[in-house]
Amino acid sequence: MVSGRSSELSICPYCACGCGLYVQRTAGRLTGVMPSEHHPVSAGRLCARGWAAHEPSLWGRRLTQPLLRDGDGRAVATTWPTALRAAAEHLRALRAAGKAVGVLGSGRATNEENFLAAGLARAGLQSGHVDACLRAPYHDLLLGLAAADPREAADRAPPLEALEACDVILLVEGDLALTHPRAAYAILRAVRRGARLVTAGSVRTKLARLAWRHLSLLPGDEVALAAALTGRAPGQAPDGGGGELREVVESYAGAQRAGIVIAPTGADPAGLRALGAALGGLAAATGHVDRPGSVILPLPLRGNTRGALEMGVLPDALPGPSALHDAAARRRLAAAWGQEPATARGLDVERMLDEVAGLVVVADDPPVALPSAERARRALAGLECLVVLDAFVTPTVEAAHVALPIASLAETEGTFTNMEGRVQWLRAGAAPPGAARPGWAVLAALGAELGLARPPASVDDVLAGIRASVPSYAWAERRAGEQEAWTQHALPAVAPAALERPAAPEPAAPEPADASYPFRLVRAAAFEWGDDPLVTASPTLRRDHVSLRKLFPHGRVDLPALDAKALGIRDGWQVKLVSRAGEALIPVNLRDDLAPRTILVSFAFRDQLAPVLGAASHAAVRVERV
Amino acid sequence: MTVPQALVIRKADLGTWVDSLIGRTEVIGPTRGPRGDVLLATLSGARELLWDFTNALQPPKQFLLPQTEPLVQIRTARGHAQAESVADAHPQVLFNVRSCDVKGFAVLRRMHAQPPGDTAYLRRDEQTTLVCLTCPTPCPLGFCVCADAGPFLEEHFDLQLTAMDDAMFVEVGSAKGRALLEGQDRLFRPAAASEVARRAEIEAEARRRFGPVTCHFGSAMRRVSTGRVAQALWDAIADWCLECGGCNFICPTCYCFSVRDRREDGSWERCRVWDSCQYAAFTLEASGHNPRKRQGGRVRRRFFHKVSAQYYQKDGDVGCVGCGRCITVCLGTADMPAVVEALRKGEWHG
Repeated sequence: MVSGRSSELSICPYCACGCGLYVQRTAGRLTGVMPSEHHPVSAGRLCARGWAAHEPSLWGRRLTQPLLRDGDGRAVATTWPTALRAAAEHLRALRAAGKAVGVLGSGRATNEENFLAAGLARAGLQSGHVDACLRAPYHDLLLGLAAADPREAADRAPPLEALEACDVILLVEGDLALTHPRAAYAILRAVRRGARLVTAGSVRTKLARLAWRHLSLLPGDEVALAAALTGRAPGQAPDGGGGELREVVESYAGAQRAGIVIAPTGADPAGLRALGAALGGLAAATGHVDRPGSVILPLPLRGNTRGALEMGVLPDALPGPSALHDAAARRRLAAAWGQEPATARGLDVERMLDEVAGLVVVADDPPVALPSAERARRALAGLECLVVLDAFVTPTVEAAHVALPIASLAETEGTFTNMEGRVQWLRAGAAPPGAARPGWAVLAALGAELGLARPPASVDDVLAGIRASVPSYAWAERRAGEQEAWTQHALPAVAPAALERPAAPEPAAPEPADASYPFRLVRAAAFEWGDDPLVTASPTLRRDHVSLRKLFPHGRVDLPALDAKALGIRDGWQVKLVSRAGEALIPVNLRDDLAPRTILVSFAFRDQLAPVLGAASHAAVRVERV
Repeated sequence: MTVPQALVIRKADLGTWVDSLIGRTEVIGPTRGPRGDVLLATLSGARELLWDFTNALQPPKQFLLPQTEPLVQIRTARGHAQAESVADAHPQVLFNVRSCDVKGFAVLRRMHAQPPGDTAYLRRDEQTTLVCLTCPTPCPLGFCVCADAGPFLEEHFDLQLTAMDDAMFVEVGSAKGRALLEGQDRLFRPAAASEVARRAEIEAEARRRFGPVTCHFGSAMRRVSTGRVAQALWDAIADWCLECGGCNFICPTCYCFSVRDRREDGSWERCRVWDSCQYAAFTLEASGHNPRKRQGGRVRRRFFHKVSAQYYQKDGDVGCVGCGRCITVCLGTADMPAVVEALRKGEWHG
């Protein structure tokens, strides 16, 4: 008679805002989500992704059985013990043969899964090759912002709340309303209160239309912007030069409470560091770093990108992050991981794909997140051993030698760390399908197969290990029966001074345009949600994101309408783009809101332009009619 | 026995009554969730049921129109596809539903009953008994008085309860409501004339206690329906909407849906799922043409449906019950009172 409608408080797993929602179920089956009215981050609000957070579990193509590739290359269903043993033996054999093996954690995996993934690499496989896709753009911003590390972060208002109360906000964005809607909402609230908003980006977005000033910032422009911002701090503004930028700097400097929000743009790593350094330098020079009410908020791209970084999913630091040579950290981690960790500096994800023979991928699909999808696909196909843990059948799972089914984020327990540093619980709204198990349990079992001592028996065990070995998470304790999300307010907790860092590469200045290559082609973003498995597995989200892709199966670039007119090119026509590196054919979309001689390509269509762009985010090109 | 229209039950006896219902049928009501959230859930005991609460953000419409609703199961046997209805409809009692939400159900019922009639919805509606709990203290964001949807109702409920000092005043609105009182003669007694008068006083007092949120539908309707709202105003409003769809999902009167098929154990399940007219591809046609490609067009469409005279004449109501949920849920600033105000004044300031 009772069909049982109930709900579990959880967290939206998409972007890094960390909004609170209830996963709802009827008779044990997921049916939907509902925002949590009194949640400290979202107070009853969700974006379109949050409202569809239950859909991937229901509509995604689920991996429900462990799969093992047989002698003919076919993936065959097998048992858990067989699959785990095969994975461990294969990885061990590669190690014994002196070949490199690595592990990828993920911004769509929990802290517990990422902590165990880092342990699998450093302790289980004795390898420093551990990283996550989309870790680098966020990390590069943090490293750039090091100059703006506040001395005291403890008793500040949470950044999103502080942002709403700012008088001046400097926003570097791709399109914040799409990438981080809750942060965009904070800015809308501030603007409604009368705050001055300055946007910088390659497109005039919704927020740019509401802005007091909009600065055109294309990939490749970061160094010039940095020079302009720091060179024009109050009192140093050169006479007559750059009136608009001077106004912006003066307005920021004079604000009682000022905010800086930086979303990773499509820039190169060095460009992102330069951008971070410029804005951090501006905040430091104007006294906003330690001023109560002022805020600097770098934005991780995925839900738990920040958590993954702090759990040690990076090639050049231990969890914390702590320095690789930090003896105390190593001792603590040896206890948590069951073996002394390797302290070698490893390869980042892009180089790992080129150089390792064996790879364990935890809940990620590198071709959707790396700058070159095609190169990532080729690299995965060329691996001697690819072990993939995922809830969904992604192209990476299809390439795997061993595929291990794990629970989706609506079916698992664990924590996520949001952009503000809040650590919050995800709770299971339903049981995972088939033989799928929670990701932490699979990683623990794989670690045990690789000889790690004392594998954790519960997700609380893993968390206890994190608490004991990562000082910044020492407070993160689950109290019995507690339903509340935990909160902690902290600014980015990377202590750069403690870490050894390779010198930052010189940012590449834009190639000078000349008569042969008069246009600038730039990649507009660092990531596109439309490609993410959590979006493609949701029919509601896929519809909105895929429709463009359906309409433009050959990709497209955005071209200024005036330039097109001069060239005699019409909307939708195919053109040839030629750079010094190569050429490509692609249709054009004419726009009247672009700077002259600027061509934008979205992250989704980056592969079509790989011959022209190479690995760079910008290039000088010419446009030819075909 | 004929049950009179107005009864009284002692507050001390409410638990006994609710527990006896829980033993007979699925009873759903507001419960206390984490951080003070109010959650609607199946009750396992009367002690879980809240009597003093600000209305839940979660609308009870989901128990008649779920976010994911399996309708048909499609199996293939020997090359033939067989479709079987799996729409769930079992008796349920929704307890302590606020007047705005009860009015919302009346709007949904009228829409779904239009020919040819949505049988999945109507069957569930038939199986549902609505127990309305009136609002002697209006909720902080509510404006139900502007939408003829509360804080007390004259119709649409099966039972309507009003808290008095140590008793609950019970109005019977239908045979379904009367059925909830069967076998409970010991707990209920006819209301005295003084109690009927007291109930009227409580209502009059409640109507005087509304907060600052108002919504002048009449003047907004005049402007919308006579083409006096410039597209530029809709475009300006659209810049303050982040297209989350939340206003549709929590609205007691929104019912737009999509149909999605999902594979389940070797068969296909055809589901109705909530959808939002604010999503870019909601009106995307198979040809690739999208009549409401611009968001300004989508915002305009939403409010035209809610407050235009054309729809008012057709439906007899505005498409809003004044629950105020869109004020809480809006991931922007384009909630109903704010937009109605903008339409009235012909200007928008975010």
